Amino acid sequence: MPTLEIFAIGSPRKTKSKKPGTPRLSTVEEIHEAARKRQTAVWFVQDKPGLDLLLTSKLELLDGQHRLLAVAHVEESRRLLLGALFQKVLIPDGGIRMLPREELTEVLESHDAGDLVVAVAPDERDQTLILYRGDLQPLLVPFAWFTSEVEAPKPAFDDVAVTDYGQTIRLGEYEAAVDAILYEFDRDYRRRIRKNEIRDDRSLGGSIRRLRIQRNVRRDDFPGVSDKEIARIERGEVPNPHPKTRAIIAKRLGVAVNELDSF
Amino acid sequence: MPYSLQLPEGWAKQGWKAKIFDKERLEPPHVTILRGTQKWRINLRTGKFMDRKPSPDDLPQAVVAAVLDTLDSLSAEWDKRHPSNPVRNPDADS
Repeated sequence: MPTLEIFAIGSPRKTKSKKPGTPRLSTVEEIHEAARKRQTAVWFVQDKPGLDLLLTSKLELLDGQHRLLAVAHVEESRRLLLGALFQKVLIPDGGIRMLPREELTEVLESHDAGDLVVAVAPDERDQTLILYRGDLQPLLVPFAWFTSEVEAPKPAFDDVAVTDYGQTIRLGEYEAAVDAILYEFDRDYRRRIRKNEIRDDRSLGGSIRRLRIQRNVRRDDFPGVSDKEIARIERGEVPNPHPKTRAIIAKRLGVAVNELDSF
Repeated sequence: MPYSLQLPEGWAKQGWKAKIFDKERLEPPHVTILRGTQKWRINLRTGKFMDRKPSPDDLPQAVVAAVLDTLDSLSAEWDKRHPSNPVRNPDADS
C-alpha cells in the first residue's frame, strides 16, 4: 500500500516517529504549491491557527482526491466550505472519537496508514460503528459483529475509543483488534493479508503446501492420508503429525522426512 | 476484557504491550505484541512468529523472552476468551 502524502498545517508537536517529519505548511504560498503538486493527499490541520491559514489562503477547488483531517474545532459556518474543497472531511464532532493527536501524526505518517484507524463514531440508532481509516476511508461495522464467546465483558457502544495507535477499538472493557475488523469487512485487505500469510508461512503445514504445489500433487493423492487431513496439516491445525503420516507425505513429495519443514 | 501480559517495567514504559483481544482473527491462536503503529503475532501452538513483516528482529529480546516464557499462561488466557478454538486442539494428530 503506497504511503499517503500528508500535509500538516499548524504547530508542530513531538512524536516518537524517527522518520523525517511530515511536510509542514506555514505560508499561503506553500499551501498553494502543495495543492498544485499532488492529486491525492491528506491535509492534517492541527490547530485553529492552521485552520485559519488554510481557509484564508483562498484555496481554489482541488483536483483529485484531497482529504482533510482537522483536530481543531471547526465552526459550523466553515464546514460547508471545507466540504466543498475536500473530497472527504473528518473533523471533531460530538459523536466522533479520534486518536490522541500525537498518535494521529504517527498513524498518518505510517506506511500502513490505511490499515489503521484514526477515528470511530457509533450510530446507536442504526446499530453501526463507523470507523475512519488512516486514509480517511470509512468502514461500517454492525454492532452485532462485536460478539464474545464468553459472558463478559459485553461491548459498550456508549464508551468507544480508538487506542494503540489505531490498532485497537475499545468498547468499554471490551477490545477488538482492528486487524480482525478489516479482515472481516474489507475484501481487498483480506486478500492481501492471506497472500502475505501464505508466502510467509514457515510452519510445517506451509512448507508441505508449497512443496505439494511445486510438485503438482493433489491433496487426495497421499495414500493412507485423507485430503481433509492434508488440508488440516497445511492449515496448521495439526502442528505435529504422527511420524507415519509425516513419512507418507515425505515419500509422496520425494523428500527426506527430516527436511519436510524446510521448504 | 482483553488479556494484557505484564511486560518488564522498562519495556512497558516504552510503550510495548502484549495482548489477547476479546475479538480476534481466531486461527491460529496467537498473542499480539504491539508498539506504536506496529504489531507482531506469535502463534501460541508453535511459539513462532506468524508474519515476516515487521521483522521479529526489531523486537527487544527481553520482550520476546517475556512472551515465550509465559506461553502456557497465555494459552490458558486465550482458551478462556476463545473456547471454540483452543490452543491445544483436541483433534490434533500428535
